Formats: sequence, structure tokens, C-alpha cells
Amino acid sequence: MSDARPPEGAQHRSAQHGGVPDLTARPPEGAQHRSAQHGGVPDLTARPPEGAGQTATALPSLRRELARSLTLISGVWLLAVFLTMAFGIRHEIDDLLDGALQESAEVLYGTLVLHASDLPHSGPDMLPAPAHEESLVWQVVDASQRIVLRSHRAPAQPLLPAFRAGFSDTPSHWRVYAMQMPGRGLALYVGQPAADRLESRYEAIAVVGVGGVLVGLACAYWLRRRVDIALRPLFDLSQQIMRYDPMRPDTRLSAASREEFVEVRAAIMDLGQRLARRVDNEQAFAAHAAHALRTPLAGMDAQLAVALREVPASARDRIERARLAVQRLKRVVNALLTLFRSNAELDLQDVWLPDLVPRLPVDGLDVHTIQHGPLRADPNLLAAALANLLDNSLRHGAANCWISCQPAVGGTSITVRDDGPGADPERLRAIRAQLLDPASDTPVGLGLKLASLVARAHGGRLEVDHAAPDGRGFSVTLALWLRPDAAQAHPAPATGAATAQSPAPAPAIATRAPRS
Amino acid sequence: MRLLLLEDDSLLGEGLRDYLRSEGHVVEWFTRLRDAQVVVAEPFDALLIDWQLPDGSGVEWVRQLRARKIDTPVLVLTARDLLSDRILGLDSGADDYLVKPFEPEELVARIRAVRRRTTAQGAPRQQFGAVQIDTNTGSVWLDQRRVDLTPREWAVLDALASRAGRIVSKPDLEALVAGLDGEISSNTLEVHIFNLRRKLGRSLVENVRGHGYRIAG
Repeated sequence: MSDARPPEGAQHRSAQHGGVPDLTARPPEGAQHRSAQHGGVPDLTARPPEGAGQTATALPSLRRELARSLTLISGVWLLAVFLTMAFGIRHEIDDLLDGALQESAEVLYGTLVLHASDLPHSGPDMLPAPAHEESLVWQVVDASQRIVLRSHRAPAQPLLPAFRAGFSDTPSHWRVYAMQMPGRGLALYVGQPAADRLESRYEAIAVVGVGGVLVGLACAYWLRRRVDIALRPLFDLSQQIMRYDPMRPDTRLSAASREEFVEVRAAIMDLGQRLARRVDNEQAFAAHAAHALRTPLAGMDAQLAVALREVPASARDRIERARLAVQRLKRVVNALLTLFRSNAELDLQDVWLPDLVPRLPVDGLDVHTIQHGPLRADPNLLAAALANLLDNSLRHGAANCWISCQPAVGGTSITVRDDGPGADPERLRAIRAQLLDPASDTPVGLGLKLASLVARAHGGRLEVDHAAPDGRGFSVTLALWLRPDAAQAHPAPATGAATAQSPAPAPAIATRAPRS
Repeated sequence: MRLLLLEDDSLLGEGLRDYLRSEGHVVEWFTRLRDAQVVVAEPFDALLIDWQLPDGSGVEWVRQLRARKIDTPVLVLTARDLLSDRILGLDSGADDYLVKPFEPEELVARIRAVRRRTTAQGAPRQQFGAVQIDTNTGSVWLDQRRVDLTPREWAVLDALASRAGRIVSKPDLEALVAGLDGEISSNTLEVHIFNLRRKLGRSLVENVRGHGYRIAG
């Protein structure tokens, strides 16, 4: 159906079958296969158009990235500070406790040395004392490690298995400071339970840690708030940009609120002004083009209408055909002017293809039309697109054409299939590439280009394919209303608001036999 | 009806003039605004005005006409199809707005519709005693029997029927007939009135001596 397909095949086909193709008047199998993919509802979401589906939530967020980074950095910083502080606290607490242990031992040493003569010669003996807790205990042992004297809570066994001056950690979980006493070979052991030391250490670390976490949480909250506040001007700017319409001076961007936005604002305003100038030029051009194209067309139609009344009956058929051609030209010109205008306003109506298609000026083609469910579209644009597609089918040797319209998953699809020779896979790929990228080298005829523009104007896209699995025939699908926002902007009428999931109403079928 | 057509495109202007004439209307076709301004004071039933003219804006002229209290029905014919243009055109005082390219059949139907609105006729068919007139088809019946009229007779009857109950001056009717016949003799109008009375009954058209003619509403 492409304009660019070589017409030789079509001529050969007509000659071979006497102008009547060997395909029967039922839709090609490929079409049925396509419709069966979703229980009779085609899936238009399989290949979303460029840019579709890229929602704001799917994109990386500056705010989230900043918050995540700040949280991570805060967490690592907090952990590092905590570990450093824990290490420092442990070290300082140990020093403090060791100092206290040593000083206590030295005080006790002085007292015991002063009263060395009062010390018993055999033991173990325990000083009398009321019941009380001791954080420090002491023992006086003789040279054979027998306890001579000990404090109230000191164990009955020596704290150290053998005398060793200074600090020692015992297997029985004591921290001991030992001193040799003068004369008699006595030694003084002053000990502190390791559990008490550990408890002191943990308490200090816990107090500092909890304080640090609370401060950290407060800082994290404050940082997030600060991020929000810092990003608010960016959010405001994006809102302004969304509202900005270069053609409406009242939507101009306000003065930049941050130094970083000055260039952004200037760039957007400059872009908007350039766009506005282009739109102005385009509108002026469109007005001139409209006048230059539409007035002669109206003149041709009026002249032909007069001629129709004046010519003999034998020539009326020619005049009527000429008028039909003028009307077709009018439709194409209107469609082109609408499509190429920047502020094109679609004249959306409920379209019923079985009524519309028979009015299209395409002779020599057997057109079968079926419509399931409602269709909201601009009838003039749609008529122009369909007329060109049917004309392509005819020019490329098709004798039958099937137009079907039905609700589809993600939109509405109108498929035009023919029984012509079709296009080879390489050519089909090239056409698809050209439809996706207008800058590609593959030429595509006006018919497909126009249909593609019509589909885009209706929030959709154009797809081309073989009409049958064996590669015969050509199929063009106008997938309409693919964007949710487009569908919401132009909601279907209440009488026919069928969705892809809703049961399709009884189809309307029209068959138009060739006139020539 | 006597129509003023202001269209600078010769292909369209000539085509419309001939088509409207074939519909039984009297058409004065001008390609320049200044030429149309000279004759607009004459009695026309409707003005068909192009927007973009070589020597001015048709819509601006409509605004001036309305400012001068000239209430002849106006149809603006233009290639400008934007909503803003339509609003501007209708707000200038035009009664209808037709975007090119249009079918001449639609233009004729709109002329009829505009005339019905401006003459307070609700329906295309009018009844005057035993006489029934269909302005859409240009058909006339007397006592349910179809009566054939010449284009000139129809033009005179149509002009009187569209102003039913009011006097239509003799010069106005003569200008209408002159538009169809070119030069006319002094009693051409009387001949057409005589023929109308002969075909549709003597009482249909009343002669208001010294002023003109009238059909009772």
C-alpha cells in the first residue's frame, strides 16, 4: 500500500488474474491472528510510541538522590563518629579506672606498711566490716601466696596465681594491681571486677551513642527539610515552565529566584520567543497557503457545479467525477493545512466508518468496512488518510480492501488491509524505519505520510505489516488515542465509551463494490 | 433574491455568479471593495463577502456597514478557518461564515437559511391564502396545484414574500428585475405583476399606489 512500491507487480497481477485477485473477499489470515492476540482485542501497547510511558515517577529524582546521598553520608559519618568515640571512651575509662585502682593500692600500701607489725602471720583473715558492696577488693599475701589479710568481699583465693608487680588481668575476670611490701615478703593485691569495668565502659558508650543518634536524626531531618527548601525554587520554575506558552505574554517566566536559574530562564525564554516567531510565521504562511489553495478549489467546484447544469447528459458523468476529484482534493488540502498548522484544532466527532468510507472517492476497489464500538476522530482528517490509503491499494494492484475498526488494548485501532502484492520484508523494514525517523533516507509516499500524521494528530502512530502471514497483501494500522492524557483530553462519548476490556457492540458492516 | 457577491478570485466569482443565477438569483459580482461600496446602498437581499480583498478587508467593511445601520444579511466567504477567525468574522456583524472550499449547494442553502432568519420566517414554506411558496425549491402551489413561474416572476414573488406585510418599493423591484434582464422597459415590472396575479389570483399582490407592492402577511 505504500506509495513507493513499484507498480509493476500490480500491473502483472491484474494481467494474470484479469483484474480479479485470487484472494476471496474475507480478511487475510494475518489480520485474524492479530485480532486474536487479546481475545479479539489488539494490543497497541506492545510497541509504545517514542516518549510514551516515560512517567515522572519512573525517572531519577534529584530530591530522592540528594536525600539518599545525605542519609547515606549521615549514616556513615555517624557510624565513624560512634566507633571513634567508643574507642576513645573505652581507652579513657580504662585509664581512669586503672588510675583509681593504682591510687587506691598506693593509699592502702601506706596504711598497711605503717601497721605492718599488726598484720597477722597466718590467715586467711578477713577484716571485720558491715555488709556492703565493694567495687575494689584487696588481699595481702605472703611469699608462698597464702592470704594473710583480705577485704570483706575479696575472694579466699589469691587474685594472682603468682606475684607480678603492676597491672594484670586474671582468668577469673579481675583487674589487679600488685605491689611488693617491705620486710616479711608480703605482697598487696588490689583488684576490681572486670564486669564492673565493662559496665562502666558500656554505660558511657551508650550515653554518648544515644546522644549521637538523636543528634544525627535531628540533623538528617533538618538536612531533608533544607533539601526541600533548596529545591522549591526549582519546583516553582518547572511549574512556570509547564504553564509557559510563548504565544501568551501573561505566562512569561518570572524573574530568576536563584543565581543558577538565570541562564536556564534566559535559555527557555529565548527558546519560547524563537518558537513564537516560528509559529507566527507558520500561521501567516498557513493563512496565505489556505487562501491560495482553498479559493481555487472552491472556484473549480463552483465552475463544475455550473457546468454540470449546462453540459449535455452524456458529459455529466465526467463532470461528476471531476467534482468528486475536486472534493477529494479539498479533503487532502484541508487535512494538510490542519496537520501542518502548529495550533491545529481537531474537529472531533463520533465517526462511523461504514457511513464514512462509502463516501470516499475511490473507484475500482471493493471495500469492506467493519466497525466494532465507537470511534472518536476528526472525520475530515480520517477521510483524507483513508482515501489516500485506499488510493495506494488501488494503485498497487489490490482489488479488495478491508477496513476494520475496533477498541484495542491501550487505544483504538483502524486497520486497512488489501489483497495486493504487498511489500518485501526489506522494504517493509525501511518503511517502518522511515515512519519512526522522518530523517531516514527511505522515501515514503504522501499517502502513508499523511496517514502517519493523522494518527499522530490523534495521539497515536501508524504501523505497517503484511496482510497475510505468507507476506502477501499490505496492512496499515492507525493506532489512535494511545496516550492516556490524549484519551482524557478527548473522551469518548457516553453512548459509546467502550474500553479495550468492555464488550464490543455488534459490528456495523458495509461493503462497497467498485464503480468502474 | 438580489445578491451582492464580492470575490476577487475570478474563477470562484464567476462560478458562484453563474451557479447562483442558475438558481434563480440576481447576482451583482464585484472584485474590488471600492466598487461594491458604491452600490451597497441599493436593495440587496444578501451580501456575500470575501474576507481578504486586494483593496481592503471584507470583514472590516461588514463592521462599517453595521455601524451605518445597514442590516442586509451578510455571509462571509473566506479561507480562514481558525476558531478565532470565525469568531472575529461573526462578531463583525456577519450573519454566517462559510469556509472555503465549500460546495455552491451549501452556499445556496445558507443564503436561504440566513434569509429565513432575517425575515423571521421559521419554515421554508409560506402560506398566503390559497398560495403556498417553498423558498428552498422555488416552487409555488395554488389550491394544492403546482404553478410554474418564470425566473423573473419567481424573483418578484420571492422578494414580496420575504417582506410579507411590508411594502416593497417599485424601484427596488425594478432593480431586481433589471438584474435578471439587463435593460428593462418602463412597464416590465407591471407585466410580471400582471402575470403573477393571473397565475396566482388577483388578490395576492396588492398595489399600494405611489409606494410599491405588498403581499399580505
